[in-house]
Amino acid sequence: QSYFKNAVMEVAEKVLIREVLFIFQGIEGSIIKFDASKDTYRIDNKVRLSASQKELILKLSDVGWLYNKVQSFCEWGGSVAGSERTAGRSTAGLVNQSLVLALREELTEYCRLIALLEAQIQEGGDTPLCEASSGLTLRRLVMWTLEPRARLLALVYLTHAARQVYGGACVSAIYQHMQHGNPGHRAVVRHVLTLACTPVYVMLTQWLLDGTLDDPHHEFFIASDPTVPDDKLWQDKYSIRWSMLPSFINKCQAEKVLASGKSLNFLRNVCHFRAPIAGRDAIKTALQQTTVESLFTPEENTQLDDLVALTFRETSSHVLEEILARHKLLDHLRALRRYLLLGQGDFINYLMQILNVELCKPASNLYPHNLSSLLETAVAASNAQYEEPDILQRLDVRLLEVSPGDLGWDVFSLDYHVDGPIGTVFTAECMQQYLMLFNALWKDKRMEMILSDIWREQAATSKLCRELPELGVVLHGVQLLTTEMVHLVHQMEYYMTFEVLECSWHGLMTTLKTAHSLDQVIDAHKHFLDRIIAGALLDDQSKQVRTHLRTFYNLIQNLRGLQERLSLAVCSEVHARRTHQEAVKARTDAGDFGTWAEQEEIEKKRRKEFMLKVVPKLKSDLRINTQTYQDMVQSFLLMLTQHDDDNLHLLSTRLDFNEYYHRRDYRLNQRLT
Amino acid sequence: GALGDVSSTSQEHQLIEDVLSVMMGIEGRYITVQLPTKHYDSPEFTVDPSVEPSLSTLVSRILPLCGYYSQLIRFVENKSCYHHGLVNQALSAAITNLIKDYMLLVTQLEEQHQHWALTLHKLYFYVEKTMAVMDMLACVTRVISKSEAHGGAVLSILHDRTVSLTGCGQLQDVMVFLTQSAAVPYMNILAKWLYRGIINDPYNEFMVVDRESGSEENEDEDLADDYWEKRYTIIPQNIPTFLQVHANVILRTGKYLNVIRQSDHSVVCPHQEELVYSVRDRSYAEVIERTYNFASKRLLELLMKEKDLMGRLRSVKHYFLLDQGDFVVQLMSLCEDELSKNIDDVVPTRLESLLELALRTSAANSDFYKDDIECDLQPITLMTQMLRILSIETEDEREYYPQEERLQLTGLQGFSLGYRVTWPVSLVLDRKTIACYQMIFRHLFYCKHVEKLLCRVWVSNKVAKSFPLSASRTYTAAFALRQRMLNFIQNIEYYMMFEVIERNWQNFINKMQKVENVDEVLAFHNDFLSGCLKDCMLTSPELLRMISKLTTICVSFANFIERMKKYYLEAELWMSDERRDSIDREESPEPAATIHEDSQSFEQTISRFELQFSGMIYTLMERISEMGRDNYNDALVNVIYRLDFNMYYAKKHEHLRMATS
Repeated sequence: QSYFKNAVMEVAEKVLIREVLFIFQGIEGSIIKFDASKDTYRIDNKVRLSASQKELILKLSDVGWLYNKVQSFCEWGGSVAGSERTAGRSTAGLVNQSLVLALREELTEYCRLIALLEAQIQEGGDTPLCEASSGLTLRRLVMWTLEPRARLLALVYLTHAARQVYGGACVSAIYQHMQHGNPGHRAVVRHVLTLACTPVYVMLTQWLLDGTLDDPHHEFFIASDPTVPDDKLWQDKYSIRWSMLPSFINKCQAEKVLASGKSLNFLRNVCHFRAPIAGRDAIKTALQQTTVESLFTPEENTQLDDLVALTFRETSSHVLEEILARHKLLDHLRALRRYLLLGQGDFINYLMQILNVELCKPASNLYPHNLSSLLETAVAASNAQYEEPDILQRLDVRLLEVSPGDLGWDVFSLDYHVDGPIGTVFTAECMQQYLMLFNALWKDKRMEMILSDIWREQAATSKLCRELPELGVVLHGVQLLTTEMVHLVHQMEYYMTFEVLECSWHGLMTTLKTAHSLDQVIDAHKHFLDRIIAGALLDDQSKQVRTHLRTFYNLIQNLRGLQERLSLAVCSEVHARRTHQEAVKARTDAGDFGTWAEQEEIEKKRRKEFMLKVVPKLKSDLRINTQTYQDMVQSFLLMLTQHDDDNLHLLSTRLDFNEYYHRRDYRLNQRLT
Repeated sequence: GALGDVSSTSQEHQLIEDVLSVMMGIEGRYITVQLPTKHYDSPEFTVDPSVEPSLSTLVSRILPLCGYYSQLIRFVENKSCYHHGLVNQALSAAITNLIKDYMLLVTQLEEQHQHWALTLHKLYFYVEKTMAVMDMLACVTRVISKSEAHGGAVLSILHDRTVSLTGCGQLQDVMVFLTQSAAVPYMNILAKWLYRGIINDPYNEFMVVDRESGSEENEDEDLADDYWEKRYTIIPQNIPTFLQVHANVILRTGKYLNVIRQSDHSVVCPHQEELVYSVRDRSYAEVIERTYNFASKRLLELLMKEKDLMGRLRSVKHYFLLDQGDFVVQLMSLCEDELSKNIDDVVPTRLESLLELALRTSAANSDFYKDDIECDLQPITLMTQMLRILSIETEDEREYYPQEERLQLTGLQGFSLGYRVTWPVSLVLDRKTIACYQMIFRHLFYCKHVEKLLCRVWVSNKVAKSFPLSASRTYTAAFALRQRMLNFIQNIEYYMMFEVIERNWQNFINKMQKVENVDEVLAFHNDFLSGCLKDCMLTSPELLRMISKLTTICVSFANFIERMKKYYLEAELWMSDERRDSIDREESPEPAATIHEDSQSFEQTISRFELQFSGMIYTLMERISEMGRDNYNDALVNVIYRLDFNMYYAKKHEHLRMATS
């Protein structure tokens, strides 16, 4: 019994071939079994076969093994892990579904071949004696399966690559296998990829054409965030999901795609543009010419690339037109420059003058309605009145946060309301920057005003001073100091207006002229603001310089105090002397003695007191002021020369054009080569 | 059991069965296989020793074929892996195709065998032809595997083999088929590179490599000059031998296309054809030539039309070759104070703003490219710079290297202009070219400066008109020398400006009107510059040294006169009343006492200057005429006629020689 059980069976080749055909479809036979522990096929030991037959069968069973792999992938859709096999297929996403579809198609093709082979056996099956006439031998099977095996192998590679990825990433994974020198292999991959790409292609065309996203499994490379409100639509709502970007779409194209759909949504939701968008027909016809394959074969057919470029061009120009023509972006830019960057000189000057009284009060006593009526006065009195009413309406007064001890000057600011589509360009951050710039420029301007006030008073004082030669030195010193300060302030203003504002503005205008898309406009504007902020020494890098400038402003205030004291002293002294002389004259006219010893004594004493108390005090004040000022200028120049910005080096050269400060400070003499 | 026991017909039958197995790579019953140690070698077969010897020998004739087969199979399986590259994969695919034919043969033989119609002799006859092909294939694959060739190298091996098989008819056809199939991916990469300038080469098989790929974000303006030189490079081992001659052209074609693309122009080559490898007719060579011409022409168009290359060059000429007279004069007088300082004390920003001022206040203001001019201070003199360049790769290379002469250098000697060029104009005006322009500029500028100094001496000499006759005789020698110096320097300038630069420029312009592609532009421009450098005597160290010595003498003479001016004015005009007030009395209370000694030494110094100057100018002229004798169609000889227009020096020299002899 046991002998019989272990008896080796001789098997006819025909039987073997039948077995092998089952194996080809992944089905175990009676002789050839699947060994799950080793993941291979093996032949029943009981069966006696020649070594060469065994080897042939093992070789052929490989094909079955490959078939099994692909088949099992198809079953659970390549989702995350084996345990989720049942759930996997529906959640894996559209790309994976179509991938499975493609694989199934390939497998069907393969099964057809097996069926053909089977038929060949059937034909020859009736002749009992020899298989010779059947025309099918194991060797022949090897030959027949040569090609299907290669195809299956390619498919297995693909399934391996597509494991645990979905959507765009899955497409990328498959696309990697396109890079193969074997034309047969490439053809298989191409076929599978074409099908797998279809969902992506559909989403892409929808997005390009309508700006709609229909992507339940987050497979597409464009993501939208439904929580973002419409006013931030351009900046925040849509983004590129980089992990889902198919590797055959490059970054630049992806950005164009994003911008195209975003523009459509922008037009619809923000600009409330209802009319059909022109130029759609051209895009539609271009779209009809593209195929799924043009997605991943950019070198063979450029239709898709053309389509993306075309759509981008069309929608972008549309958005630009909307923003520039209908919403008058340039006018707003100009207005911002005029009012917030102090471009409109007469208006700013007048405004500053009429605000002077109001703003010298403590900040807590200010009322916006007072200020805005003054603003209206200033508008009416200057050329600003010819501005578009829309723009004037947006112009407003704003008080910044008050901290204790602030004067009106510290908290006053102009404001410009932006909303709607242009708010996309003038974002909240941009407006913050504008306010910051206004603040700095306003301060600079005010210093200029103070200095010119000082100068005016000096002109009056110097006239009076002719009667007081003892104060000539002080007056002269004050005048010199004022001139130095005026020089600095003027140079700074020159620098700001011409080197910074004008240059940046020019840059902005040229880029705007050549801009093709809203993004370029936004970037140009941002760049414009950044440049001005850096130029106005408001960025982090020049913080130190800015603080220095602030101390300089304090010095100007001090000088004003000094000037006031000086003119007060001069006035009172001159007045005292004049009354004295007039009294003398009056008495002499009356025929009396003009003066007498006692009174003379009082007068002398008064003059002596003036000489001893008031004059030295003024002199020392002046000396202190001059000294601190000069120290400050020197370190200021030093800072400028050490700054990274070349323009500031030029500014420092201009400030010290005749090397007046240069000679005083060895540090400015450092070697630069 | 052993096979030897059965009849020879059975033996034969069994052996054929085994041979058919072995031919499919499966070990037989009586034929055993030993696998080789190296994967690319052929396996060893042993036939059962008991077999009849004649049969055994016949079998062993057939067995190599089985070895070839297994070699090929192993090659195909090995090289189909991704990392072996596209060319190897394509080659494997082609070999697989051939193997399919072979398998068909085997199955046909099997069929015959099943019908008992096959004998070993017949078998041998059937496989003999296939054997030669398989032998060749195995041999080729072995070479490829052994050298671990990859990409272009594989194609080289295949091509060489194909060529060496010329005349072998069918074998060559097979090889051509193989090479053609293997070359397909490579040719695709090549086509993409030639037609669009894109490299899509995942396994580094192509001969051109892009060093910057992947980092596309930092394509900013501040690309270094040699960026394009270094970005694309050729990998020599990846050039297939049949493309060797075109390698450079291929590199440049793609590079030009990239240049055009970078300037925001999409380029599509109009005549895109599939590139196919072939041994005999070199259709691909024509395509390469055509695309190269296209790319080159397109780039030239871009440069000439959109980037206004000629306008740029003209602007460069305005500034560097002192073409714009008023600008140069303006610049020189504005910067004189700043530049007369030591070079380390010159403030570059101040210089920059002065330059700006000069640009905007002269006629250069209308130049569109004036903003690209900048200042450039170089810490060595022109002569050292030239000598260093000239001495590179000669024996005295080291001699000029470690010299520290920075300290004595004035700003004027180190001053030169710079020019900011953006891509793609920097293709023509690269750093080297600008350096050449700078050298010429420095030379001309310095000469101009010397002329200015001498002219100033001339102005101050005009005072001598009011000197008494007796006194003025003291100064005639000095005046005469000044005149000669002025003559010298002005003529040298004239020569350089008109006979060298203008003439070369005209030539250059004429050539540029007929220019066809970018390489010609580069070549012409190079010719122009080297012509200018050579004829301005900058390339001959000997002449350059002489010229610079002469200018040094002139400068020290001018300085000396300037210094002495105060003294002689006082000395000669102290007595004349009307001048007395104009001279500052406080500075020299007793001028008359010191004058005598001064004038004594004054005359001596002048004569010393005179001696130096004449000596130098003689040697210079002699040297030039010597050179002229060697090479008489040089423009250089004209200098002599200019310098010695009325044979003054010639006569004097004759005189001198007579006196000494």
